[in-house]
Amino acid sequence: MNAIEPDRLPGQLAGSGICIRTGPFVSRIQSRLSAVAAGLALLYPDYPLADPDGFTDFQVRLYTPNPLRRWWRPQVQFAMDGRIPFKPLPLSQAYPLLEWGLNWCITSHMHHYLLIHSAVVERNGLGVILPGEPGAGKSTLCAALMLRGWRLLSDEMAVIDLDSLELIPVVRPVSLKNASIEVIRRFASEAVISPPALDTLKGTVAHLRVPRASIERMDEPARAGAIVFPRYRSDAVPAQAAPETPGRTLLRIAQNTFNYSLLGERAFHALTAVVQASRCHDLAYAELEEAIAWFDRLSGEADG
Amino acid sequence: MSDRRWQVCGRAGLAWVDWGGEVAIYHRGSGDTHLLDPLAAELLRALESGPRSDADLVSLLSELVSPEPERPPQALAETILGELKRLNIIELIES
Amino acid sequence: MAESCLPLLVQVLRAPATAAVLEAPDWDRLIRQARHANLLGRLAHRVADVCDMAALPPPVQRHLDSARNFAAAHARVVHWEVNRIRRALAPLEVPVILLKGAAYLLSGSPVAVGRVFSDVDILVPRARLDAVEESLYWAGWLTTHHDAYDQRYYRQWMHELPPLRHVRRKTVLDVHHNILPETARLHPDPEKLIAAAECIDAPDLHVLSTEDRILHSATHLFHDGEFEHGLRDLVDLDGLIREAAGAEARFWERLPARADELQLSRPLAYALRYCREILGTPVPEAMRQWTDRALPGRVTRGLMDALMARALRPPHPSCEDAFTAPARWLLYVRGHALRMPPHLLLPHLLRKAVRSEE
Repeated sequence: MNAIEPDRLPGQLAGSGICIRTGPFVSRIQSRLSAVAAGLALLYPDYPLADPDGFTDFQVRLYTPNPLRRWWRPQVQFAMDGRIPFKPLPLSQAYPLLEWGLNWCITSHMHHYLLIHSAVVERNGLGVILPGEPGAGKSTLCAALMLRGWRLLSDEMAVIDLDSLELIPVVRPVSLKNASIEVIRRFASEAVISPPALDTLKGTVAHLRVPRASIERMDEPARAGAIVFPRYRSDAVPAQAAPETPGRTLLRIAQNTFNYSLLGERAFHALTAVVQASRCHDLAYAELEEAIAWFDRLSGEADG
Repeated sequence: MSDRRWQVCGRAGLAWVDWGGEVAIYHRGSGDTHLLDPLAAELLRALESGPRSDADLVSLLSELVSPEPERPPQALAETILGELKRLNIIELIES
Repeated sequence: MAESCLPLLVQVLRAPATAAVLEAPDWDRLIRQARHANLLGRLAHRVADVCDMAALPPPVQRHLDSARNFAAAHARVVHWEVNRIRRALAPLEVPVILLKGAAYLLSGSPVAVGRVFSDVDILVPRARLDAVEESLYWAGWLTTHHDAYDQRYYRQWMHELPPLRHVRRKTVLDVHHNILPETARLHPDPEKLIAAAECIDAPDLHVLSTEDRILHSATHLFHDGEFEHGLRDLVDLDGLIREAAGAEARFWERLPARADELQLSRPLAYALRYCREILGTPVPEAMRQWTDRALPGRVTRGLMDALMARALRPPHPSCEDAFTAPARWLLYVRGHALRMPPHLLLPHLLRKAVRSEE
């Protein structure tokens, strides 16, 4: 996106839009909203732009649905190719809405892939799936791992090719919620984080920029070698890892797969194969540093 | 009870993955995935090849587990079949 | 209608082999039109039948593949629903006649390939309606409309029960006792439909006869107000007609005769007219005279042509003009007017309008 000068970005977004490529997907984004332009300028400067006259997977637009409400409780609406999947939100949530909307575009239209609600990171050839069970804190852990040299594939969904079973990167900014925003700020002072949006359905939300190294490798798939169910627990000192059986891992992941029942038997075979190829663990942790040390040992094992 | 006959629901069948201590099945009709213990899996395998009576299934079970006085095979079969029925994996054949 | 004016989606549905030469911007437009028309699954299968999918641009392959998976999932759900419905109704020994999508799917019609739907529609004899509803209730299908007005509206005037939803699977089942409301201007006799139904799986599973399936689809499209899926329904009709004409020697004699018998000549005439014009459905010249007789006079016909030219385009911004919305609205009102006499219609529409404001 460096191809666009920052001061030309708002104009282009307001016009025919910009086409950003994240992994296999090209999204055409159109908006006159300054928060959208500012968010993209902050979080996407290292992304490749796609040919504006080429094929786009998703055509999204963020706009103020009712101009009369410009001053009184202004709102923002998300549309994909003219269709409106969500109710409008307060204008202050425009940037998070763009990211949520782009997630929705993938999970609702990309049943070519198995789509698991989880974070995915990789190091030394070891792809790790961190399923997003409620309260798991996958994003915090994923952000911390990414800031310590793990490659980010995705913070929000594992995208698995049904034939090759490879993990396909869809590298996008990491969504941080509530206390984890401050946790990550303290954890890495160099982290670039968007201005928090308050009082969203998920509480306070901000997005963390992905290091260039992960973006540059967004066309390089990984192989799943571990499935880890993280859980933040204030009394888990030291961090405690316990193996999980393949059968129970399968059921737990299936519950967190957006299109498991849609893909039916293919999903069953793909997931059982991924589980079979992976070491499966529960990991309870209180300290990020301990959790990262545990993951580093996991990836070291993969070396030899 | 011994003249009841059971069958797997629907005609589309099952897909299996056996991990030894636990068996995952995919029911192609309902699209549901279940995790079974080895005994339930054995009864289901028998039913997969065709309808079976209670008596057939109890005798199959007697071969698989050593008899315990407080848990006769009839009671064990009743529990397992009830659970498989509740999950819509098997059903009684209406006569 | 000259072929070059047809929307890209219609052009490719008519000649799927042309997909092989489309450029990226064409695909961009085509996939969006097909998605809005609820025809992406159908398009994907048509293209896959005649083109080498691996030679298409990878992003296009992904969207088409996704749409095929999506349609396959719906087909699986419907197969299972029908299995459960049969089990629930087996003790009644009542014939279960599948309608619409479920009928196309279970009878193995090519029309079902890639078609996306998950509601199941069945037709049962009116005399057995109470028993059917009760058996379904005990098997977990509960009514969705709890409002006393809605219940009375359905039971007194409509040709179906209020939609039932399965308490665990959340699937929707429509139980019909006729194919048009009691109040409608046309009165096909449901006993004739039931008597002619074909058994597809003994003892209880049936579909309407070939001709009746086409007549029902035509009636649904040209006698109803909902044109959101207008093009999809027209594509169904095209497929049903091509399938039947290829399989039955006397089809073109039997179809108009049956339409006359069931008082459904007008919807069939519209179906043949627009199928031929828009989708190039092969209709023999000999049918032209019959169609002319069954269609309304020149003025009404001209108006319908203008309305249909818009309502039967893909509901995508790239295919719409300033008259699209008014055309759809007029057809909506027309659909209601055909289903109910004015003294019932006006209070009903008012009630609907008031409630949609709430």
